[in-house]
Amino acid sequence: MKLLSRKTLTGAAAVALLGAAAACSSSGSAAAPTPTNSSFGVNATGTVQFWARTVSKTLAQKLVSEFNATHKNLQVKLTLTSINDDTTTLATSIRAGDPPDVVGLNDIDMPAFTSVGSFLNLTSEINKLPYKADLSPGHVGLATYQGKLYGVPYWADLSVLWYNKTLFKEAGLNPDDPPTTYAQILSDAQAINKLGHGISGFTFAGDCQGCLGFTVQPGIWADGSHLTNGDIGSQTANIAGNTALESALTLYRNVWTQHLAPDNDRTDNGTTWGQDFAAGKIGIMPGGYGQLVNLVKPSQLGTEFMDTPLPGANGGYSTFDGGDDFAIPAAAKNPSGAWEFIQWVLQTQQQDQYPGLGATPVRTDVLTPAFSAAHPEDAVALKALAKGYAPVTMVYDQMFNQAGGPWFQMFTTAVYNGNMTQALQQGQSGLAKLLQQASP
Amino acid sequence: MTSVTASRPSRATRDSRGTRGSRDARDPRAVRGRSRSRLSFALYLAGGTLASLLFLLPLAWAVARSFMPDSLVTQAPAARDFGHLTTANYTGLIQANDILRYALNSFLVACGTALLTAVIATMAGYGFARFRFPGSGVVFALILVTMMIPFQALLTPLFLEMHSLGLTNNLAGLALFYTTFNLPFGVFVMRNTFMQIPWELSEAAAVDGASPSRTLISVLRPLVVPGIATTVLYAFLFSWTEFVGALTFLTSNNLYTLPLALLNLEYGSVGQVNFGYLEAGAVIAMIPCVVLYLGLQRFYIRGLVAGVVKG
Amino acid sequence: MLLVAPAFAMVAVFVLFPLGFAVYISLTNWPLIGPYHFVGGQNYSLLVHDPEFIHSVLFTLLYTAIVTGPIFVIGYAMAMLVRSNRFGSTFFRTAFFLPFIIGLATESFMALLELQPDSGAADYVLAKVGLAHANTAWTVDYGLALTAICVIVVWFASGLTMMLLMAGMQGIPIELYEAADADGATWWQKESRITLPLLRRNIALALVISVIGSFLAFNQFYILTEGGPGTSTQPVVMWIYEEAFVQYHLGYATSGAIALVVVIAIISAAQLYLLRDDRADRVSR
Repeated sequence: MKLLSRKTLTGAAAVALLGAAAACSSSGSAAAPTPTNSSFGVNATGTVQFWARTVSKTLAQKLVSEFNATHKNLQVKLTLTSINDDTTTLATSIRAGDPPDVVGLNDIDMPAFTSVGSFLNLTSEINKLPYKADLSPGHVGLATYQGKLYGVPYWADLSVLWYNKTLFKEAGLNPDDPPTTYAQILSDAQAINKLGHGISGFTFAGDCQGCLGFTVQPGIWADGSHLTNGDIGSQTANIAGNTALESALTLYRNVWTQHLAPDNDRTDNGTTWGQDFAAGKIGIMPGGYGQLVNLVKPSQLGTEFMDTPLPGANGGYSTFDGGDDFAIPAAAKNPSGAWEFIQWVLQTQQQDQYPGLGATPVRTDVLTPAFSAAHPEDAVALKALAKGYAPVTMVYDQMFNQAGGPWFQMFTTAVYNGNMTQALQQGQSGLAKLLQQASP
Repeated sequence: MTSVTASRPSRATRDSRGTRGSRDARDPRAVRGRSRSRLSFALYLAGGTLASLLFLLPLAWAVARSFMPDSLVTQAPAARDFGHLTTANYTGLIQANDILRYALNSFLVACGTALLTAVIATMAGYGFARFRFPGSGVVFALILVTMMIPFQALLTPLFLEMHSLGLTNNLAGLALFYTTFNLPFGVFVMRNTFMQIPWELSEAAAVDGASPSRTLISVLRPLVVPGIATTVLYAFLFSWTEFVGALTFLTSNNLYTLPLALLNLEYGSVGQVNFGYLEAGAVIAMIPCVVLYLGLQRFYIRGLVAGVVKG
Repeated sequence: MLLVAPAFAMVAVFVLFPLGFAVYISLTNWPLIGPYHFVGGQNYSLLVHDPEFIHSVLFTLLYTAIVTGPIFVIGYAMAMLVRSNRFGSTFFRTAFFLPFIIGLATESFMALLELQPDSGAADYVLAKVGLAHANTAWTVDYGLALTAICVIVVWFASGLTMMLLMAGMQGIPIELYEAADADGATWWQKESRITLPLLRRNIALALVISVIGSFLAFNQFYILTEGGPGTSTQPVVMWIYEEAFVQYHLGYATSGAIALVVVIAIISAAQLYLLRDDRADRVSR
């Protein structure tokens, strides 16, 4: 009786809503608008609502306050979005018809939005940029859909191989000769591990699927392989029989069985990642450039800690093109102002400030000798940017970041359980299933 | 024999361990039970203290940790850590992270929610307890349904609806949202409270010549106040610690509530957490709640005109 | 009627209307971004065959079964301890209620820190008393994680049960106990014949809240295990969250949510029915 009435009422409400909702069923058309006005992005006025991820807080706040100080007629209002909810917040605001004017979106999340026309088509505007060819290829790739560009790079969060020069010296290794192959990583870590006193040769966030995706994949790309093949809509999984992947997983398996990393790495879900390295207790740590810069004093960079590009199994290097892309939602109220702000951020003058704010620039032409001299650690990252990559797929989150996703399952089976064959099988079938579900 | 349907709070103290104590030491029953009650009192004190320590230990530890820098906090605990106590976490939170502003936001929302919930729930609880109108069962059930719904399911529809009502991104809208979700508990509690009241009290007072509103207020109030205190406390705590709703409905950073601010202390691309700051933030968050709770304590000590209604 | 109107109005606007909307969403393939299509009951039929969904339901049921008993029993015992306003009872009451005041989310973060192997307080203390190794990894093992989370939740929630029961206990007339004493009743007899029956409504409230809370558990799992290892410790609400905000299948996730609401409603109705207090529903003379 009680239940029945509740359901009836709810049913009635639902029926009433059907009519209302049907009217607004299709939000977001397949063809996104293109700015055609020639004064687009020039001398714009008013306010620009800018949503940036909290991850880029230091960078965003500095950029926005500088811009506002130098542009009297155009003011940027910054809102920082929460770590785990930035895409949801953006998606909901787009649905409600009230999105920001420009958003700094996690670049790997771009495909989900570009494929449904949520953003402005900026191809013609980008083609006018003189430095177009120097923009980070990984970021640009993620902002591309069916040949058109729906965003530009904003900042780069790159993965590198950090190592402790002090510990290298103590272990009798050359501090200016960091590892460039998996074998060298292993032998260097072994040497440092022998130092004892709570020192470990290696560290990784063993319960953090996103961290692992960030740091393990570049080695695979350095060997010329990828985990998916093909473009969105017709992608296939390339895991079974992927020798580059197998080598990478074997490296971690060896590190784990030889106890070259602290035991509690197994449960490090990212919340304390890098702290033991920053405390000087670890020899080698694949990690983010910005990650360590935020954890240590500037005086320690280059002296105690140094980075080198993440190597593949046999030489070669790459990096994970993380970070954010700028995008302008289709329903933005001040797209011209947004584009003016974006162009300003991409100027060399602003890009040069990135290293001090924990980010890497997104233009490879910023890598001048002066830059290398002033910011040697970031120069390493920026050099790797040219060979950087980030997977362009609709299922990145499901594959890599979601708890229980195939990537982490594969890693666990291979590294902690030691069953490589089963791990690769699981990975292949898991990823294939995700790709199949995602294709329309 | 008093009917068990009427409950009468009384001033007599209660001893749950077997002997019922009495405040009157000259009472022969009290004299006889005094040695027994001494032992039971000792047991009560010992048991209670042990249990309290067990409950408080993790929190005390967290408070201690909040005075240690983040680098120490993520390593194995050692006695020497206590030699490195610092208020850096607190100063960092207050100065660099503006935590007091967020605490103020939370406070405004929580107070608003608590007040609104108390008023509406009391009205509704009284209505349900005193009157039987057609459909009251259904209405009550519908209000209860609110408790059973996972937030996450309603986030998108609710956001779209509140956005069209202009209630997103403002603290008043958030308070309305919190009030609604506290109503089931509040209505339930107030209905129980009103049902426990012996209505003959007000009838007796009316016979004595007091005006109806005066009897209602002065006679019923002490009976009803613990229920209201519970509702207020629960509503305040709920909105103080809630963050999913705040996350969804607030987009301007300066409106963020405390849990949101603590969440945003995560930094780095994979959500690294400064545990020192987090523990300090938790302690800061604890303080108003404990103060409120202690302040409401006296409403829980039931005192009423004893012996007004007999047999 | 008018008294009840404001409460009902708020619930109607902020809960029932979105709920109806949500039911509609569950009948579509609404993605987080982009256009959607009506698919009728397809989501629901997919649900019953989805092993992950079923696992999350079973896991949630298991978890609820484990924690409900201890929360009630411990809460009741604490209420018995503090209901008399003796010296120290205010302090005890505050101590027992404090974990609830702080909130489970914050406590989960605190626990996250202390459950780390080699650096957390949990292993440190347990190793000292010889119950565990110093490098026990709590959060990546199904059994250990479940144990830790259950302990934390019981610690958190029993204070609320205590408060709810205590308020009711203080409303029981002392004359009833005095009369029972005169008849020579034991402590257990007094408790079971006088206190428990008169407390039915309060017990009902405490149990309903506790069970609903367990069914809707999310924060502690999200923070401590993220549902891992794999999806073994993933409760239903977390399944809904992942499905909606990571897989972007909002329609499908909402169908799971509606199913959850129905289940909770049925169980709560059953609890309230079984614990109803007909005699005391209407005071009559």
